[in-house]
Amino acid sequence: MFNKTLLTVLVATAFSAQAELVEGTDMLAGKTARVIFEYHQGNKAELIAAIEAAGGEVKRQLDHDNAVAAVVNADTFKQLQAKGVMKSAEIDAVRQVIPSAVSANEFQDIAPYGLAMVQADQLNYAGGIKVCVVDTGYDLGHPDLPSTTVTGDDEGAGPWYQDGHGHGTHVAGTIAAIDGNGGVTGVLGSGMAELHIVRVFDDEGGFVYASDLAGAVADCANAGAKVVSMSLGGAFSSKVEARAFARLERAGVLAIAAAGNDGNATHSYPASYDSVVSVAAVDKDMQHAEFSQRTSQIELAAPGVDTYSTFPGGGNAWMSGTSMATPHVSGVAALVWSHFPHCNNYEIRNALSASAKDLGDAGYDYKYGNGLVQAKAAYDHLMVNSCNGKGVK
Amino acid sequence: MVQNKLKLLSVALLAATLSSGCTFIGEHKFTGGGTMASAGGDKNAVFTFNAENCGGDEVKGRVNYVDHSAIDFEDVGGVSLKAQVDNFGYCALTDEGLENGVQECNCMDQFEAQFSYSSKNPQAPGEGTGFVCFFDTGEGKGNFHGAITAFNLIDGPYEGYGNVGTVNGNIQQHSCPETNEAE
Repeated sequence: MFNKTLLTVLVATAFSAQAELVEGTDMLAGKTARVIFEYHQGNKAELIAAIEAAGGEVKRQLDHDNAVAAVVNADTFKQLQAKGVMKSAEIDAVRQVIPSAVSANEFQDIAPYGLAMVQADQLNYAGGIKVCVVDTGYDLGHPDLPSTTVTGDDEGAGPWYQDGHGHGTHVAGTIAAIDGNGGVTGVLGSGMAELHIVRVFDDEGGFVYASDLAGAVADCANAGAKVVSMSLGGAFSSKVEARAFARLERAGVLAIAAAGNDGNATHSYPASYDSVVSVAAVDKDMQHAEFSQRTSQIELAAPGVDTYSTFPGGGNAWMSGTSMATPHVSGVAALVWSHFPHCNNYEIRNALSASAKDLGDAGYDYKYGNGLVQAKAAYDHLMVNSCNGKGVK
Repeated sequence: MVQNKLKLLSVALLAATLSSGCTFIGEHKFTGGGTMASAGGDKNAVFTFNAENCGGDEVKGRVNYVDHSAIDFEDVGGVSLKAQVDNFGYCALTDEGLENGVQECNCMDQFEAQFSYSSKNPQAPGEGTGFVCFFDTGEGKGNFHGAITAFNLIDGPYEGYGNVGTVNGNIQQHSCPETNEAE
């Protein structure tokens, strides 16, 4: 169901509109593509002037990476090449909400099976670890979700505190839904979770570019987030985006992303960058979800089939996907980290992997990675092994 | 066996749904090589190719492709093949294709090469077919990172192998040699 159809559609939507840079066809006229241009140190103004003079439109400036993202046509691209103002160029790869099957439900008191499965019911949240959710927004005012401890940024897709799609609100609920008020509970529900919402997707789910995502995660870091949760991805890596995540990692932030729902053995980005934790999905029987992509970058598994969480309009819904597994891991990371605030991101990441419940083939495997994420086991691991804040990969 | 046929049929139906009416247009000649992410593995896939469709009936070209860490073929030591290009060109939706219900190619608005391959891996011997789709500026200096949007092996020892990824390498577009009218 998910496999080739989604991959093909993804590829088609990602690049059919960007293939016009190819030469040798009359079909190029009037078509544009979004491209990331790197410039040599000190040549930013020259490059931007050249892009604009040639009819291109600069969309984003990535100063940390000596790069700008711009919409250009084939003629513009040729002019820029001829002027020699760029160091290199790459297609600005598309990043999409990882699609999820959804069924809405009337409001009712229910404990999602995933909480016990990841041992979130065995540890109280001690506070102080802000989680950033990059998604379709947040239904601020939902009775199950925090409101006073939530901040956000808009990235051009609408107000961060609204969500006409539902994906972002569902993800946020798995992390932060408040316990004891008759609704659902999230991994950090025993306390009051601190969230930062960066809305990059519109009400239709839409897509953004890798350069946009690089900007979004910088927003997360600037807001003081220690964990970044990304239930999104795309098939094509980006050099500039990879550098942005490496920088985020060096800044002490733990980035976590969905492995993808195409059910095949291909990488998805940002999940498959070394600096990002790639999350696979399992069902309520701890079996690998058929749609969950298998790769050598899979690090942890978490519940992602028929997970129950908050939905816009005050209700709740079941959704399935690696998108749903990802916030379980993000929540557990924050839950464990709240008890060991002196640990750094590498030490938390290592503890989650070292304490994961082995599933599937003995030891590491491509379906489950190191296994099912376990909050209490990670806590116990750190109690025994401690950390000195100098941990490395 | 029945399962395999059903799989092929479903792939064919899917391709037809998405690309019915697509035909190869224009004359093109490319050479190149580079790396891309493995199909799920931890090492890069490596490829070289040349492909030429410069008018007339003759399509020429070769593809070499190695993905030693492809996780679905790990038990046989990965994918390694050489291939002969059977058809190549820029794949576009055309009026002629739509009118005649033709589907020559799979990847609309991209370059596509269809090929017949032989495995170079003695642990997975045999022959099969596949296709690769890509786009690139073709300026060949290695400072533009194009993409392979599909590298699919349809049958043979690596049936079901599929990969996509950003290319790190050098893809060069060449002019077709001018035809000599007198000949």
